[in-house]
Amino acid sequence: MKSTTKIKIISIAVVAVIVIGIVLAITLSVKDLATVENNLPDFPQTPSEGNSWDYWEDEKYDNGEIVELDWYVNASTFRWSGNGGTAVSDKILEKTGVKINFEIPVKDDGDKLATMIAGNKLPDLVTLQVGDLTRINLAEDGYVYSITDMAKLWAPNFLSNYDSEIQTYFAASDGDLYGMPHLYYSNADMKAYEEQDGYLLPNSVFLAREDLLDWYQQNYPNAHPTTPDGFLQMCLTVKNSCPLYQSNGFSTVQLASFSATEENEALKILTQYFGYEKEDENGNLKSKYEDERYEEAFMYLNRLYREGLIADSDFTDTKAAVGQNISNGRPFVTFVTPQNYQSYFYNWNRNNKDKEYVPIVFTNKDGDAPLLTNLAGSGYLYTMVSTNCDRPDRVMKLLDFLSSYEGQMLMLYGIEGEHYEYVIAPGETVDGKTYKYGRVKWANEDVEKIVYQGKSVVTYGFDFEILTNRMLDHMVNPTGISLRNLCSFILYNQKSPLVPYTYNPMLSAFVRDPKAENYRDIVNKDIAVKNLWIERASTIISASSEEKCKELFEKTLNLSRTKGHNEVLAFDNIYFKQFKQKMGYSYTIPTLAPDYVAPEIKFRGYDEYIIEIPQAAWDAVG
Amino acid sequence: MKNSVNNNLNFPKKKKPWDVSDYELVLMASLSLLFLFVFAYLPMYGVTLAFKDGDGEINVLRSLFADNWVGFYNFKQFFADDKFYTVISNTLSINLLMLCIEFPAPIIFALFLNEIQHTRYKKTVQTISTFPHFLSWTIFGGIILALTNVNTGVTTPIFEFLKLADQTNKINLVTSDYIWVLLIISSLIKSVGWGSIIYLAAITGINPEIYEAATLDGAGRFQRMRYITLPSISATITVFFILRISNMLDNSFEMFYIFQNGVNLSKSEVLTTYIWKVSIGSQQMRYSYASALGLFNSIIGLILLLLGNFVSKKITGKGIY
Repeated sequence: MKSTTKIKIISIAVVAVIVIGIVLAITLSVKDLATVENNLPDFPQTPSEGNSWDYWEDEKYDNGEIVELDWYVNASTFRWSGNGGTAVSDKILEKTGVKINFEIPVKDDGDKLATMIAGNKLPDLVTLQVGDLTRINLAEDGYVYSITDMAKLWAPNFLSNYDSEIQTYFAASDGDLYGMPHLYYSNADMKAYEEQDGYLLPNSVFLAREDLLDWYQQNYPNAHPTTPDGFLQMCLTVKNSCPLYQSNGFSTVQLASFSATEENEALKILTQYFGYEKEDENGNLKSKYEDERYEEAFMYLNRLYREGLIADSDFTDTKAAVGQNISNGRPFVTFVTPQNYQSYFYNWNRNNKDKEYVPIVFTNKDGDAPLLTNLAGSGYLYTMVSTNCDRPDRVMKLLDFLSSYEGQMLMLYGIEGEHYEYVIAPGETVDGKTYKYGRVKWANEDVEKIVYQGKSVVTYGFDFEILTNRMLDHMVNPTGISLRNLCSFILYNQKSPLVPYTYNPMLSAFVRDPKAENYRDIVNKDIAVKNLWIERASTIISASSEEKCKELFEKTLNLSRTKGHNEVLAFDNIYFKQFKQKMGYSYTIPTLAPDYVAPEIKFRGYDEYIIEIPQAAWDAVG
Repeated sequence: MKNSVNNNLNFPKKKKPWDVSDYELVLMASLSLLFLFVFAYLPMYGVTLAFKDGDGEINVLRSLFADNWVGFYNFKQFFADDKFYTVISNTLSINLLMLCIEFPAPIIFALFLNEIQHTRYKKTVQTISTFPHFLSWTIFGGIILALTNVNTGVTTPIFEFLKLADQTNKINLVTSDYIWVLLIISSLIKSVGWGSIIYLAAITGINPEIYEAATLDGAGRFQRMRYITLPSISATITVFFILRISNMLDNSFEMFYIFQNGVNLSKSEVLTTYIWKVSIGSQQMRYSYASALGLFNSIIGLILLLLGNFVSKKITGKGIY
C-alpha cells in the first residue's frame, strides 16, 4: 500500500472516530434529557420546632457545612450587592450557611435560559418573570422541585410566611407550589397597609405642566377640562393663546413612543381613563377590541391629532426623543407611563419647581370615573428550585429564612441597630392604627443619606429584593412608602392624587394553561391580533377625518375578528372563570361591587394623597 | 499588458497529490473540519425541527428528538400568513436595492481612494469611513435617528434649505414613505469603508508597472481605472457579488429592528425581524415555526447562490466553483 493511501486512511479514521464520539456523546446526553429526575434526595427531615435555618449548624442535620448555591435570575436589570462581602450577604451566610452566586443574562432575549433548559444545566435556583409561562412548563415537565414537598421535609413552617391567597394563586394544577413570588402582596396585606394610610398607586397617569394649568384655570375659571371636549378645548387654548407656552412644532399632547412590538401606552392609558371594564355584569371577560371605550379612545386621539395637538413626529419618535421633549418641558400634556420616562420628568421637575408635571383627570363622554390599574400584587419575579440542585434541603432553609420577617427586614432595611431602629414595634397600635410589621427609622443621618443617594445597593444590600413582600416594605418604611430617592418621591406624587380611581388588577390576573389542547393556536391568534392593532394604531389615529378614522377602525376590527380575537376571548374566559372560582372572587373590577360608589371627578385629583418629600431626599442630590 | 493582468488571476488548476509531508497539514486541517462539523454540519440536524410539532416546547433539544413529525405544516402556516407577501416582498425589494446600491459603492470608493496621492489624507478618509463599522447598530442607529429626527434633527433644516420641504410639509425619514432610503443610506455609511478594504487590498496587488506603461501610452486616470484596476480586481468582485447574492435574505436584524416603528412596519418588516417577532420576541417559544422560516430563508439563499454563480459563469466566465 502506498504511504499516501495509508495517510489518507489514517486521517479519515481519526476524523471518523472523533465524529462518532461526538455523535455518541450527544445521543447519550439527549437520552439523559428525556428523563428528568425530580425525586427529592434523602436528607434528614427538619423538626418543626423553631426556625428551620437554625438547624444548619447542628451535627445531626448538616454539621455546619457552608454550601454555595448558583442562582440564575432571568432579568438583565436585576442588581445585587456582589456575591458576598456585604452586610446583608454576610448575615445571610451567618444565618443559613449559604453563599449565593447570582447570575443574570446579558440580554433579555431568553437565549440563556433556553440554552440552560436544552442542556439540562439549570442552576440550583431559577428566577423568572412571574408573567413568563415557562415557569408553568418547568413545573409541569419536572424541571423543578415541588416547594410544598420540600417545605414538608426541611422547612415545616415555610408556608406560614405566605398569605393563603398567595398560596392559592400560585398553586399548580396538582395543588402544589413550584415557586414563590417576589414583590408580591395579598389583599390582606393591602388592607393592613390601608389601615396605616397606605394606598395603591395607579400604574399610569396623564400629566400636565402645572404653570400652564394654573394659567388656564385662572383665565377660564368656568371651563370643564374633565370632559373630553373640555380637555381638548383647554389644550387648544393653551397652544394658541397662552403666553407662557410655545409649541414650536412639537406636540402639545405628547404621546408615548410607538413601538413595533407593543401596544402604544397612550392608547392603553386612555382606554383606562375612559373607564374600560374588563368584566361584564354576568361575570364574563369583555373584549377590549369590541368595547366602545376602545373605539372612543382611538376616535379621541384622532380628534386631538386633527386639531393639531399631536404632531406627526409622535408616531415615529423613539423613546429617547419623547424623553428629550419631556426633559425640555415641550409638551403641555403627556400621555405616557411616567415611570418609563422617570428620569426625563425628574430632570424637568427638579429644575422647574413651579412648572412641574402634575396629574390630571378627565373622563369619557358619559362622565364615568377612570378605572386605573396599579402594578399587580401577583409579583414581579418568581423563584423555583431546579431538580439539578444537590442540596434542596439547604435551599429550602434559605428560602424559609429569606421569606421570614427576619429575612425580609434584613434584605430591605439591613441590620437592626446598625442601619435601622424600630419606632413602632410589629403589631403595635398607635393612634388607633395597627402597624402589622412595625415602623422603623434609619439608624443615623449617614445611613439616611446613603439611602437617599440611591447607593444602598452597593453599601448594604438593599434592593436585594428576593421573595420580598411589597407591602411589608412599604409599611415598615420611615415614610410609610418604600421610596429611596428624590426621583421616586417625585414619581410618587405624580401618581398619588389619582389613588381613588385605582384598583388591583391581581383580581383578574388569571393564567392560561399552556398544556391546553388548543393553547398554541390561541397564542398564535393572540399574537396576530396584537400585532395587527400595533401596526394599524398610528394609521387610525392619524386619519384625515372622523369618518376615515371610523372606517379604518372598523376595517381593523373586522380583520381582528378574522384573526380570531373572539376565539382568544372565549379561551381566556374559561381560565378567567376558573381563576375567580379558585380564588373565591365574585367580581374582579370595582364597578361590579354592590356598594360601588364612583369617586368624584376632580381635575387635579386628590391632594390629600400627596406626601411631603423629606428634606434629606433633596439634600442627598445637592 | 493583457498577459500580465491574467497572470494575477491564475488559480492552481491541478491538485497536487498528497505525500508524507502533508501529514501535519491533514492534522491541522482536521481541527478546522472538526470545527465545521460541530458548529456547521451537526446543527443542520436542527432543520428537522421545521417539520416537527416543537412549538411551545421549553426544551428545544427534546423537541428535536421527541416531538411528532408534522410534515410541511409549519411552512403552510407561513405561506397562509397574511404577512407572508409583505415580508417577502419587503425582504426581496430592500435587498435588491441594497445589492444595486450598496454592492458597487465600496468598489467605487476603493477605486477613488486608490487615486488619492496624499497619503495622510487618504488614511484619514479611510479611517473615518471605516469607523462606523465598529459601532453596533444600536449606537449607530441611535445616532442616525437623532440626526434625522423631524423636529430636532439636522435633516429638516437641510431639506428646507434644499427646498425639498418646509415647516408645514416636513420630511420624516422614519415613515414608511422614506424608510428604505434611510435604511440604505445608513447601511451604506456603515459598510462602505469596511467593504472597500478587500478591494483596496486587491488593488494593491496589481503590478505598478502596468500603470506606468499605461501612463506612458497616454492613459488618463479614469482610463487606468477602467482598463487596468477594474479588470484586475474583477475576480474579487465576482466572488463577493455571488456571496452577497447568497446572503441576500440574511438582513442585519439589528439594523431593521432599530429603525422599526408602528408607522413604518409595512415597509420595514423583513424575514429576519419577522422570524424573531413570531418566535423569540413574543416569548412563545415557536421553535418549529421559526425553524421553518429559517429553512425557507436558507433555501432561497441557496437558489440565489446557484443562480448567481451560473449567471456569473455565463457572463464573465468566472464563478466561485
